[in-house]
Amino acid sequence: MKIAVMIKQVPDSKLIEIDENGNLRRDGVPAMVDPFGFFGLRFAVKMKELLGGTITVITMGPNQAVEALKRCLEYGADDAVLLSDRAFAGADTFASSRTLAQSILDGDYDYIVCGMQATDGDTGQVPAELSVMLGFQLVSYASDLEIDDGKLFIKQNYGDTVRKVAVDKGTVISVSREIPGERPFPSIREHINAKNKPIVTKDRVALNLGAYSTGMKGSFTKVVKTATPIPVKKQSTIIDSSDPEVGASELLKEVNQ
Amino acid sequence: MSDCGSGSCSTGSCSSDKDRLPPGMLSVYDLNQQTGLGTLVWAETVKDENGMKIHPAVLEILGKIKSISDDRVFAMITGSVEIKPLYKILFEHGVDTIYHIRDKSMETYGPEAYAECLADLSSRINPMSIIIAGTTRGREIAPLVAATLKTGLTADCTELSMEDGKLVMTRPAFGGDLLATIICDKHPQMATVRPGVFSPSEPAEGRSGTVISRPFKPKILKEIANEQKVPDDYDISEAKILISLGNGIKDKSTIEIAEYVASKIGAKVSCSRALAEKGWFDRSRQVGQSGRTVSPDIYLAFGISGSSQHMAGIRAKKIISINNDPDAPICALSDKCIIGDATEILKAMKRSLEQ
Repeated sequence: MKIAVMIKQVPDSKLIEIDENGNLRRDGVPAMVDPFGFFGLRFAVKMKELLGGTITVITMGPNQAVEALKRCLEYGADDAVLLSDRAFAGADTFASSRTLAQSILDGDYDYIVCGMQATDGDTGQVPAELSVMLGFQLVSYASDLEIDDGKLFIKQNYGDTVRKVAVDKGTVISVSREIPGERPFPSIREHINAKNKPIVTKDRVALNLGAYSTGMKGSFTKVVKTATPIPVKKQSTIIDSSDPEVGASELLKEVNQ
Repeated sequence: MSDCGSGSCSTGSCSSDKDRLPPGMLSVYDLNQQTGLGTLVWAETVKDENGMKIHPAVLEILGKIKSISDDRVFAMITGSVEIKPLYKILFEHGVDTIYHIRDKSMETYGPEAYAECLADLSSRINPMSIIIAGTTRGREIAPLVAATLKTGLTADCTELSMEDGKLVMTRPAFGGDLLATIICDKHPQMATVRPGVFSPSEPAEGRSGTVISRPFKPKILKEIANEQKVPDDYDISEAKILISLGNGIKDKSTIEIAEYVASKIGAKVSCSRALAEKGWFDRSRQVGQSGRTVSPDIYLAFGISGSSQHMAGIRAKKIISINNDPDAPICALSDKCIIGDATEILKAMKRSLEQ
């Protein structure tokens, strides 16, 4: 069984920069593994424990995204693929999904595990778009898994409903929260082993993707403007409440009106 | 997959930009020529103790669509005969044509089946845009539809407008540090809309429209082993009064005091990003661009400094801040600003409520 985990390297939020096209600048930015992607990796490691198989982590990003992949190799992934090409820059979710889908088809994976969303884009669209492009079933909001009679079941949490679905090969799983249990900490041996695990880099040509299929050229949506939200200033009444009773009675008066 | 979906194609036929057409291809084959008008929405239903009702977030998007466009509004709804009373509500909120999908297998929610059905309706109606409420299910279905129709999708929009037939979509990015304005080159233009941002329009008494009962057999059905209702996440978006706690609250036991005060004055307790990240509160209680958008009558901000991301989630009639720093950004953004120790003031409120 082959599991592929899609992770994203996200820039440190304090250091974000926007390029002239209104897209996030990702090169030369110190990066970390997106938390939801990490939940996805933990989910895949549990799947591997229960079902056996191998885990490949795949990410699309600039060269230093290799650092994020190395983290994942320490935490239980077997090998890694970096999709990196100038031509991938500025991709919307459709173009990103298409690039990822192509790399998944290359590796012939049975299960695709993603984080529900990444903390930078927050769209949460890639897992669903991938499932359509691959012809896979989609299981969103996964929070836990179990094996019953040799069959894999996944617990989904929709907020108001919890459901358990049977899952077969050919499924995209998007993980919404960390599976229960203690987070593992890699041992020194795993740390050293990780250095010997292979990381393959592929560009647009290696993926057999056309020049108009990736990045900004392959995107349907365009960012036309970015702005920082401007708050509305108000004429505020200032009340000094060095004595807490003053503030308390003022507040109770307000809510009782 | 006939055109650009198979990955390796580079015909550029999905583009409206003539420079992007490959050599030999005439611009006459402009596949983006707008042929359709109107908006398609998914009328998500929820079941409560009084039976079926339309999800409030759907009425919000209907209100917004009505304010930006005069074109027809189509709605897809699924379910048995029990949803018939909902027709009237949809019509009164601006829907012109309802496609009621009557199939037993469509009565249980399955993302693939619902998305397939919406995509199928879209090919039939050819709408200019498809707008879906950004609920947990809406955000699951929308990208399936977008990928099936091979069009763009903008997630979690907080503002929509119409300019020359283009849907102009604005959404927060990077946890709300930025607002990005986005357009889509292809039809239908798709967006999901953040719940709680827009207000539903006043229902137009007696307004009516067409209902089309449509059979539909989905290709993919989910194998659901079991399903159970769980109590709703603590819902802060409907509260009339919110007591919101921020990083100025240093002691976790203050939450209990806040809960007590809230129970006495009919409020709910929410928090800022800082406390959700500390794990003191569930994410569903977080107010702000990366949390929920709330619209209470009174928002009481205890120990919240008032970052732009936090303030963007508040659509309150009145904001009262309680903070010991008169220079905190929230002071200038609130109607009333109480300078003092937030925890002590909460304790004093508890004391006087106990009497």
